[in-house]
Amino acid sequence: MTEWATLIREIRRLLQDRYCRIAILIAVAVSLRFCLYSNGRTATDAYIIEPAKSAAVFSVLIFVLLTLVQFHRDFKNRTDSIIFSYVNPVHQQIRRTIGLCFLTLLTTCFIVVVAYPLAAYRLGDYLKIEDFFVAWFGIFGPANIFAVLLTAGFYMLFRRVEVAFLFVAALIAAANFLQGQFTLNPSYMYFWVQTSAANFSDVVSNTFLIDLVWWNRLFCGLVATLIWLLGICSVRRYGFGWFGSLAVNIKSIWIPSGVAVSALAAYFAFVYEPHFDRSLPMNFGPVISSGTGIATTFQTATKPPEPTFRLLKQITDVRIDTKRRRVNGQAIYQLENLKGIAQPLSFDLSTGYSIEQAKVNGVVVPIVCGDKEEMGRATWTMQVEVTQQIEVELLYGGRVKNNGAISQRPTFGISEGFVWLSPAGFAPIAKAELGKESKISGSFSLPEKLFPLLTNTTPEKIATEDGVTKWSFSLNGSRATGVSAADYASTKFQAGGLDVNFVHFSKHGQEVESMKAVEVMKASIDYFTNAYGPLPYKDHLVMLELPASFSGGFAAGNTSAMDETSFASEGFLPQGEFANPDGGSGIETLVHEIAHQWWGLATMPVPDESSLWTAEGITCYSTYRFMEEYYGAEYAKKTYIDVWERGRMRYENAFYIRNPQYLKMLSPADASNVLGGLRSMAIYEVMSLQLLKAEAACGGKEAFQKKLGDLYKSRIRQPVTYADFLTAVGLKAEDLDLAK
Amino acid sequence: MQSNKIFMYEIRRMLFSREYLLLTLALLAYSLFLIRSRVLFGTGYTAPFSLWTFADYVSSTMVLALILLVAMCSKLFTETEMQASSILRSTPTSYGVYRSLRLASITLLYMVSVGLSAGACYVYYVSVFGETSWLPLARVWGLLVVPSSVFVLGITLIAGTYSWGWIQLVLAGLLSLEIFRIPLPEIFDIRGASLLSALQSSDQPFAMTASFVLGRCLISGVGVALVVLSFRRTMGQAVE
Repeated sequence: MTEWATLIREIRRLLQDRYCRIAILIAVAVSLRFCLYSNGRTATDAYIIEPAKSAAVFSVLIFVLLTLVQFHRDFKNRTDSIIFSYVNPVHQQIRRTIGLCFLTLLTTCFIVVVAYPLAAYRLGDYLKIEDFFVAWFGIFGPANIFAVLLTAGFYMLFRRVEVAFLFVAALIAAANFLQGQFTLNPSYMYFWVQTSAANFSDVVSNTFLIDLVWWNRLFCGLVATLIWLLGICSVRRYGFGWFGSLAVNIKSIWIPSGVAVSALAAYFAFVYEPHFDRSLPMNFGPVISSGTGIATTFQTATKPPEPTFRLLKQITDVRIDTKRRRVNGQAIYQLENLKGIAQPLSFDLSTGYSIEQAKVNGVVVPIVCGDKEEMGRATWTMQVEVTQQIEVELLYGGRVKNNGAISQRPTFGISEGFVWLSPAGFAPIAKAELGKESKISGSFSLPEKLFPLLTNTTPEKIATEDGVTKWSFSLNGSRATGVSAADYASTKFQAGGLDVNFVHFSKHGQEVESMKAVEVMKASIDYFTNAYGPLPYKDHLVMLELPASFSGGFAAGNTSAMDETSFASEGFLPQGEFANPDGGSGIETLVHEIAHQWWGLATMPVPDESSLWTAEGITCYSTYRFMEEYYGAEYAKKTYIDVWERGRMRYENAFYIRNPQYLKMLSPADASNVLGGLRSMAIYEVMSLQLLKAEAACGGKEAFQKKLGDLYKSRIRQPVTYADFLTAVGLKAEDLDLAK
Repeated sequence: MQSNKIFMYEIRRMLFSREYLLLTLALLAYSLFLIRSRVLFGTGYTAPFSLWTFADYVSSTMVLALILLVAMCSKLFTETEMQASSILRSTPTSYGVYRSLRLASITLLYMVSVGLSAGACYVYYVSVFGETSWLPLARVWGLLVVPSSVFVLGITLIAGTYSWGWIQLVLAGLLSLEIFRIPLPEIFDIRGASLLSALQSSDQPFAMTASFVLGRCLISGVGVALVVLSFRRTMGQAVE
């Protein structure tokens, strides 16, 4: 009988085996249960990704047990000496492994037959076939295959069922455990069961996240194969122990070769992982944080070095190739050598790019990339000779890499449906000062269907040819710009004395309309402008929708951005009083994020050790006041004041608050962690109540908001301390004590 | 005398086995992690040394401890053990006595492991907060650990008399319970986590609901019955 026929027979046997049928049935049933009852920040997460991830963790256990049962059956029945006298034991184990892998594929197919129509029904237009495919055939299916390979490998290595089970169980537990350990910043490649896939967008391509899943599968597959091949090396033969069997098995050259190849391939897959760079951990010294996740680099901690060059003019031509997912560009710089001596000239460029050629005044010169990568940038340096005026021409290009220093999240990148480049990912940034007459301009090309947004300027369309549109841009007063591009739709309206351009993903149009997002934004911007003062944007404001993977928002230039969940009428997370409004969805979250424009971005409330003052409290208060006007006092009381009161009771009754002497018994680090945990509750709820008390002490809402408005106008783009706030409202800290 | 020798031998055999050492180490490591990440903050904003926090700590380590118990018990039903039983039954020592001695050794070492885990928390209370009263902690520990352990012991022993594969299913079930945080009804809660559902405010005195205590008694009774049944089956299999 041929090997192929024997393999088919083994597969047929497995399909008829009752344990296999029970395992498949349980895996399918539980997976479908997860399809019906899962949650997430977006619909894609809730109905596709999270079910696949949860199902993967459960079915991996099922297939681990099934693999152990199947591999142990010959030895359990003491029939191995008979069986292996007429079949090659190595081939037998290989057939068994392939057969079990086939079962995992079959299980996946059974699930997909039901899960796909269910997902199509629930997601509607938001369903993207690539997301569904990666969920079940990229996350769920491979997890089971890895479970089979690892279990088989460990079993063949140790020949003990319980030892093999414990090893694999430990790997499952480790993958689960690492998920919550943000401080360790574990590589996404370690999550072999469920992957780190999360925050899939409903409205834009998830290519960046899908890239990580496939690379994870490549690495984990190589490691699982390595373990399995080590097991194949260890298949016991001729009554030998481990060493004797190893000596016999490695005579088949393909086995040790396979071990070597998979070990090397796994090593290279890990070391040369293409999506994240090796940026140094971020220095948070010059960053001011509101204590709530909004962090702004407000001032540098050290004095900047004396400038050696002045940038007079920069012209850049960038080609953004969404098919090959690359950037190619030419940048020409006219600089003045301020020191008049030969000295190095440096450029910051996104990691992942390279400068292919550098010319100074028409002469090709060497340019070298430094070893240090920081915040997703690398520094390229060339030596410039003694000339007053120099013209530098750089040809650069490459694929985007993201900052690997913090919670590996693929923020930047190029895909067919979405482009986002940082300033250093758009063009090299010369390390030179800007003069008053400095002019930075250029052009870039994008596929016709993508609409670009630049951080500090509005691009102008030049021409469209062969499906590619060329755009021009010009910067005044800023040295660089990032670019984002997608199938955007925009709605223009006037609010707060500004021309507001609300740019959102076209696919989100219906949702935006149904929740009357534009009306809410207009009403809230008008309300907060009347209450506190105008936002510090020159004449227009761009409100930009980001993909869900961004998980938050930012403000830069005249752009204020929030992720798509702020514009979703329905959230897919379990709702509760404890939900952080920054992490939720719906109108309340949208208004909360808009209020952060005043308190958190335009001004920077700075937390301190002795009070609960942060951007969150005053933002929650502002949101409440708007909601009271928009929906009425009864709604606002139920949704805000009652919730705050309950939170306050929990906080004041907390053990460490009632017994602060016990904090002194802890180490300073532990005490700080404990207080931090309590603060994160108090800054939303207790601080909001304190502000209500301040409002009453100031003589009511109008008087209080006038004082807050004066404070806001006097502290635009500056930090606002608690002392500033108390001075502005004319109160002392004791006046806000809720116990009095 | 003979029994003492057998008992000590079984203790040594189990104590230096891979499964026992690795799982005890894992249990202690997890206990230390919980002390630093959960006990420190206090459960439900109660004191870190409150009985609520200690109960939460013990219930969090419960599943891993039960996995240790099942792994230890599974060694009673390996092929080698089943094959050796026919030889053991022909020795002067009664097979029932021998099984009891093995079970006693497993029980003792298991209690040492979970005792070490609880002890780690007590040492933390004493060294950081100066809280030395151990009796209330021991009562809570006993009420949480003993019934669950007896119940799972009974399930494992009865499963083992049918097939060694059933024990692996028990293991997988426990693992699923932990990974998926599957909530169990109060009357059947082997983790003991449902005790904390009674906690409403941080100054609430520690108390167990009647249904929780009833559940403890019930699973203890079921566990004991299953242990006895497993013994009868084992002895019955000897007769066959």
